[in-house]
Amino acid sequence: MSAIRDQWWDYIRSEGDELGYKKWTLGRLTDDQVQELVSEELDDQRLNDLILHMGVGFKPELTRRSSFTSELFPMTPYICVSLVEDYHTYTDRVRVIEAAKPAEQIARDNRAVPAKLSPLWTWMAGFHYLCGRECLIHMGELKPDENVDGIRPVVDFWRRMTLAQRNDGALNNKDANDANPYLPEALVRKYTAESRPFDDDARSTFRRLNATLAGYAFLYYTDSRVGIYDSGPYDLGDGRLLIIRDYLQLGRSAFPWSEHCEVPYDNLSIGLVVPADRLKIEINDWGTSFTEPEELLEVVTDVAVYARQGDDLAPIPDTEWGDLTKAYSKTHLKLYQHFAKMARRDKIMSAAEMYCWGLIPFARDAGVFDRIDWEISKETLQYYPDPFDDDAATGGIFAGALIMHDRPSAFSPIR
Amino acid sequence: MPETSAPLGVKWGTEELTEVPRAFHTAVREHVARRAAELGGDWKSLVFDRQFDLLSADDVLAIEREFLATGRKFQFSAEISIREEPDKYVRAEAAVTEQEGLGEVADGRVVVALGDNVARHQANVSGTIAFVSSPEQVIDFLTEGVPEGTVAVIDDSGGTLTAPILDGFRAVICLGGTVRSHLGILTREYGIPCLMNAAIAGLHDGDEVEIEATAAVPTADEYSAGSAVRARVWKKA
Repeated sequence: MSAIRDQWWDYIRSEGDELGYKKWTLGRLTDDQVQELVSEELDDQRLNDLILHMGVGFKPELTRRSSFTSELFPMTPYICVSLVEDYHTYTDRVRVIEAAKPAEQIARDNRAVPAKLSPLWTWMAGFHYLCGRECLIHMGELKPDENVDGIRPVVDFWRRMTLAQRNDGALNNKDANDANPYLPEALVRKYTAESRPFDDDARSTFRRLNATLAGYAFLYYTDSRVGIYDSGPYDLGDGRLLIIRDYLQLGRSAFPWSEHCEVPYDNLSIGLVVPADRLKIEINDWGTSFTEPEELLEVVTDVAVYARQGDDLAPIPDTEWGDLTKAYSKTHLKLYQHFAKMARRDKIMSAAEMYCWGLIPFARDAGVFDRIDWEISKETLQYYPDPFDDDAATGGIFAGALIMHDRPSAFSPIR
Repeated sequence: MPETSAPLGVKWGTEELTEVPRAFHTAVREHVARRAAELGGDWKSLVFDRQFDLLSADDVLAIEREFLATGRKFQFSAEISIREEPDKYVRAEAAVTEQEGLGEVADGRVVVALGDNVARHQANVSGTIAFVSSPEQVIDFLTEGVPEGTVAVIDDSGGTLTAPILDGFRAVICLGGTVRSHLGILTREYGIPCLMNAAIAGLHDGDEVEIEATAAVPTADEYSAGSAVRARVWKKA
């Protein structure tokens, strides 16, 4: 085995601190080194090590940073349905996708365009699947050492996709100092060159546009972060950093509720330039930025807003930001009324599909969308309504499976 | 357990997340398991024909006595419970007032809420409390407009319930979540003062309050260590 492979697997196997951080000493890997890792076989030992590495980094994110309540959507029921559905379907779906195009090729073909395939969707492919496995283990329906050959293709899909998409050797933002500067240098230069300084009026107009898009994206994706992704920070080499914030797929799509979603642009990409000495930036694996001691939008000096259609980026001047805010707000209200009137079961199934369909962009890229059955499976529906319609029971299953235990990893080893 | 324990494992075998239901339900489950083993026979006949042999009213009262003897009490969902049996029940608010600083009176004002500040603002803000908990209420606000100076108290830390009207609030007090929950992120993006994970005592619709939006934002380390300084909400005593 080569030195880099040895070191990389030593890192994967090393212990994390109480927040799941490990000491990364490998620096940024070269393209060839990343390819070496991508081309490895995932044997049982490595699969086991990888599952534990994923679980150790993930558990503190669940315990410290999030909360699973929503008045509009029955959140723990829909999360349980979707996670267990991922477990039941992803092995076959991933095999169909990879038979047409390998994961690493999908990643490489799309990584030059901001969030065309969101790194969050990649993250979901591996982590949601393992969360589903863990829920079934907790429910007594599965043993940790069962179905290893079904688990392997999904974790390997995630592993190779992530390595090729990030291209720095890391698998999570935690491995890379809470960052994911995955977009190519040429794009970073373009955003920086085309960003414009703020005056106070423009800052205020931008703040409203950004918040309106965030609120709408949360609703469109049924109270999840799936439609938003921050990447970076990209070091501009002059004491400044760039964060690229993407709002993705906000218009007509495979989601039935998107028939209410006539919006000016399906995808918006925003470059935010900040002085490096004003704040410490953490971007988590869900693509959300947190800054200390100052708040990000307070210290942004320059901004570039683009509409992205396919691979093309068209700048949107600040004179249009006010009208854009009104347009997205109007659609937001229509969608809100639609969801508010929806029956509980429909909300749960719609939101579950929203999560499970995270593989659709990969399937489309591989040209196999029509060869996959995207309906929720009978294997999953056997748990609905009992217990998956029950808020308390699903809350107990989710927390019991992933959080409320003594082990450091959210995920059980296979051996 | 009898042979059909699998369905129990799905739902009723799930351990409760909070102490009181966990203790009480565990006692019930243990009692039923013990009685089932003593009685023998298959689960279906036990449940449908001999259910009162498995768990009788006297058994439940015995479990309750044992539970209360440990010094713990139940929270109530109907006011009548605490009026009729004050020894058995405790007010949820009484529990939260144990938070240090909550209920403190100074300069003629009382601290009615404590929470984690999402973002530090240049000045404190004042406004009028409105509890918001349902989509119907949100739609009413959309139709009639959010009154100037509304401070919303929301128990839902998600990012969708109040998103369409969030911009109209003077400030938000959220009774759950963390500074990293969806609601915290959204208020931050709007630049609206927001306290998450708040404990309240004696706070009602229409109260005039001041929110300590200038309070420090907990760092990630303070947050995980539970040592973060809590921002305060005052009203006139």
